[in-house]
Amino acid sequence: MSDETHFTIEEIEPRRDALRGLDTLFLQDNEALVQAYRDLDWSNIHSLTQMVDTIEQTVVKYGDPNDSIKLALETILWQILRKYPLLFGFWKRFTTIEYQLFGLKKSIAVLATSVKWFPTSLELWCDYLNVLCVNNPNEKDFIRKNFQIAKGLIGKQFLSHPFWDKFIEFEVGQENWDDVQKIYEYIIEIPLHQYARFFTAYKKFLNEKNLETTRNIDIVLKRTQTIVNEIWQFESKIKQPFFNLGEVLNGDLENWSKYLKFVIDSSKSLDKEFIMSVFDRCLIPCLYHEKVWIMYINWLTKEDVPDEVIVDTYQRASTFLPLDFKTLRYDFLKFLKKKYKSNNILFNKIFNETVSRFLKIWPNDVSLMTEYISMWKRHSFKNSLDQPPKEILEKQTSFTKILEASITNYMNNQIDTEVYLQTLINDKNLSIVVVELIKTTWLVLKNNMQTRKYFNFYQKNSLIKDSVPFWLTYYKFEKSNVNFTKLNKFIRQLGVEIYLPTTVMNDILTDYRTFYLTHSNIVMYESSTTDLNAFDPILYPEMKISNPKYDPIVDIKANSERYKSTEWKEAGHIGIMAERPQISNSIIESNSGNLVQRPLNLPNFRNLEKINQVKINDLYTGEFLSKSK
Amino acid sequence: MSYKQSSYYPSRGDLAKKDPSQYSDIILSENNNSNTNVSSLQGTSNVGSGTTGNQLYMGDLDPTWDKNTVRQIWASLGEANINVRMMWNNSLNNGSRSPMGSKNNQGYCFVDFPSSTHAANALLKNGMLIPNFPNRKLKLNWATSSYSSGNSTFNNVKSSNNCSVFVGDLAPNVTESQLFELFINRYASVAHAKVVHDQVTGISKGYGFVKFANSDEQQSALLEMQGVFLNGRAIKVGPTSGQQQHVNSNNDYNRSSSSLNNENLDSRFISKSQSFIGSGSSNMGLKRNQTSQFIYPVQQQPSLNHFTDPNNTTVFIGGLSSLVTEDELRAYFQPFGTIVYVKIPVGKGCGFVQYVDRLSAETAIARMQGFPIANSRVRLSWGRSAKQTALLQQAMLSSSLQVQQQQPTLQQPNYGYIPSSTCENSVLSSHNNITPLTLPGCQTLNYSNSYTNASGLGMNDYYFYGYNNVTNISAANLLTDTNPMGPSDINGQQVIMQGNEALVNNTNAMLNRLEQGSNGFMFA
Repeated sequence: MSDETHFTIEEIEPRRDALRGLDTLFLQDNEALVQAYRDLDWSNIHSLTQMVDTIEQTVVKYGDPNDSIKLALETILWQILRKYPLLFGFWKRFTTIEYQLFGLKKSIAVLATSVKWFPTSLELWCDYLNVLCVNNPNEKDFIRKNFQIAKGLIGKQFLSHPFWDKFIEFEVGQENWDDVQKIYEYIIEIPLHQYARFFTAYKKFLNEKNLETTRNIDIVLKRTQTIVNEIWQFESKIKQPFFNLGEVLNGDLENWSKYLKFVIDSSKSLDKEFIMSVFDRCLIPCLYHEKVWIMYINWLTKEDVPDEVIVDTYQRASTFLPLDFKTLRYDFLKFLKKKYKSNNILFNKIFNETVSRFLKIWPNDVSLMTEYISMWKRHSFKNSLDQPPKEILEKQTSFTKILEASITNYMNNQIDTEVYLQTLINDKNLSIVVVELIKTTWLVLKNNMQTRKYFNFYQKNSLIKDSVPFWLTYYKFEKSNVNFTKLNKFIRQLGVEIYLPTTVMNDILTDYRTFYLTHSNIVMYESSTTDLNAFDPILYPEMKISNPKYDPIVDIKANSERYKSTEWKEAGHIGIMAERPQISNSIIESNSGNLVQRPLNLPNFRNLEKINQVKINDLYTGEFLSKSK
Repeated sequence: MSYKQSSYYPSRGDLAKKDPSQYSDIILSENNNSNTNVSSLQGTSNVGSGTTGNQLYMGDLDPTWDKNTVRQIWASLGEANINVRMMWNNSLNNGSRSPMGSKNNQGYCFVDFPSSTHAANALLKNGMLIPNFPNRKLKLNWATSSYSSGNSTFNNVKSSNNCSVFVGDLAPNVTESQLFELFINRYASVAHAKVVHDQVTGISKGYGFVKFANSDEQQSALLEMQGVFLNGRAIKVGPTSGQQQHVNSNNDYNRSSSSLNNENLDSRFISKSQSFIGSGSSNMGLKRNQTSQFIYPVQQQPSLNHFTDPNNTTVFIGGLSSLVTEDELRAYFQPFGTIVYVKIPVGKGCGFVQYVDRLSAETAIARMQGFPIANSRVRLSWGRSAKQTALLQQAMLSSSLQVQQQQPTLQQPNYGYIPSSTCENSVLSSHNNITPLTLPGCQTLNYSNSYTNASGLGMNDYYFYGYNNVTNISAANLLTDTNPMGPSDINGQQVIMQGNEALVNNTNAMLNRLEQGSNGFMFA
């Protein structure tokens, strides 16, 4: 009997194209369905609603279509609800459609899935429990279990009286008077919209059954009443308690913000589960509001709830929040790092998964790799002071071995999925791994020879060649060795062979100037300036600041031709007419008495032919506008 | 448009053309379709000359008529005391002076009346049927004086009668009042200015006439006003037709002058230089005015696009690797000045950087041209701001016209190309009406101390490491960056203090970058 409850629609394969493989005749006959699916605008609720409308019409039209059509229809619905599981109306319609297509069992399965995907929905829980009570009256334990789950999830919601009515009705039906009293005892403390009704019912129940209470329920009533009165000012202003696409009303946002501030106010000392239910309800319309999630998590952290709850909340938030929200997701990583100590196996696992997921969202974010490596090192290559030095050395050496192997594998395109690190490396963060390898070799293993070898080897790789971390590490390394020959060469190569962002180059040049003046001496300076290259370590960096391509022209011939170049003529004003047409028509003699009989000199022309042939390299039009057609 | 052909050299090889107004004042020739216009203009010319109000032009003659026929006609109309000057066909000189063989008249003549009152009365008969000649009507008008008063002697122009100056190469937007202003400022005797408009479209034909009361001033205007600028264009002055009739016939001349009006500037230049060779050799002895045949090749004002707009500060970066992020690109372009925004459109292989200052953008283009970013050499040129780009793309989507035609007009003044010959410069400097010219970019040269103190680093560097606040930095710093050099001491003091603060901040940011950069926290 209970096998259908194990079936979930999650088994439906989330195909990209739900209409694939359908009979062409069917597709031709149902133009509207095909059209609605092809033109589906995922950001428009009307488009989605229209899609479901069309599906319903198709179901009515065919009654009992063949299996592939059924599958196509439920796949479409599943696609929508997978993306927007909080659209509870769609779940309800899905249930009806499944009932019409497949019958009762599958429609119950849809409801079971719905409360799994949207666990804080009062409506869906009520529907589900109702259906269970009506259709499987014998499955008492199963139903009771679900009532208990629902109680934890939605029982504290302000408007949850339909659920409680149902629960009481169910237990009354079982004549489980102890359980009924327990439920009433539980309810009377919840600030419900209909708290008074339950009090009356409870009192009546106590009288009928002649039962005693362990406490004075009138005091409880008073307390509950006060709370309900206080939160009524917020509850009454909620205009849209459900999830919808598009912006949340400003008034609602303000109201929620005040409401949440009110309930988390520690001086009120409200019930924790009640506060959580307020957050849960707020996060239905405000699902895409990072601030609410952060507020929720901050409160949870402060309240010392189990780590699992916080992790779960973080994970839910990072599933639903739009991809451009970084703050909460990075907070999650920080949280995991902080909690690592308490349960290092669990948190290491979650940490790895999270980094992996975030790397898929932001492949360009190299800091994720840095975080991962430090966590990985902490987890797998831990050393402590009481270990013998040899052991420590071995462990660190093995760390560099794995790093080097991973780099080599990545560069040779032979990723070993056994090593988790290798699944995380991409073009962008490869340099971070290289830098880690170099740093460990240099600073931990103290192997300068090997370090230099690594530098020489990896700088030839095109993925490393332009890497800022790599070159900054190199600069630091040579600075620590006070190797002016290498440093001068490096400075000279900047912008000519080593291409770094101008900002970083400026930083290095500025720093090097100071470094040279503080660490060098006159003999070294003179020797560097007298050699053939004529490199001046003091002046050269100065010249190169904000002029990344600066390279003193050694070629004298090229130098003498320089004034003919366009750059020279433009004098920094790009795009001006460098070769202006000139006509000189002197009238200086025109008023001279001696020259009256002579005609004036002819005018002189220059560059006239260039008037309409201005050479403009208009990349904007050529490369951008014409391409964007 | 061949005004030169029809007005300067009226009788050359164009015998079939019988348009009488060829011989009248050039003003008339442009208005030969409108009698009222002509007469009113003629009226003004009469004011200037005074003595010629008694002569009428008479057209629509039968080719066989002669002086006597005309006299008889006028006698029958009650005007016996007249003198007729008949225009004959076969000679440069007037037919009346060389009556040889039978010949046809040119279809019109000039009639002298005893007084201007007589003439005015006679003019009222315009349009009347001619007695004894059925189907012929009188066609009358005021005659010009220059022709009728005898013009056979070289350079003996009746300047007292015709003191007009032809003005060519006018910019299309020059109004009559502007033309008048230009001349009246120098010549007190300027009486009237006329710009010729196309009668159908109402658009200026690009030339006009200025009438002088004083012939000396007219003569000096012919010399002095050559190439003077009016609305961004060098005007061209020349004598009007009456003074030009005795120039030797020269085919080269005709050709060149007709091609002068060619819209194509290049061919204009070529034909002009040819004409110069011709005129230079054959017209050596001619009067000085001849050199004014040369027209300055004034370039059409360039349309205001992203290349010519002096206020454009958007740099286009082509050939950009898809690996580069906006933050990284910012790191490349930041040191050249304060950046308004960095934008990399998805999948286009290019990027945009907009600076606050023109100079920053120019420096960035010059310094970064061809610099490799992520293994790909970037190509830089001027771009358009995101807003303009969006407009352009919208326009391109809505129509399939070519890109070049889609340039929207910007709400900024055009600037014209100014040829720098001594002549124009002297005129420019002496003329009050022309405002000082600004070169592109000049207006952006004001920098506050804080900027220069920062040794080329942008003010916003110290925010560089912020995880999320990278994008909103420039706006906050705009105030300090673009703060103009304050005239007051207090202001200046503040600027310097900001400069020091910025320097400290920049140094801190720099050290942070050097330290954190090697750990990979660069573009997080």
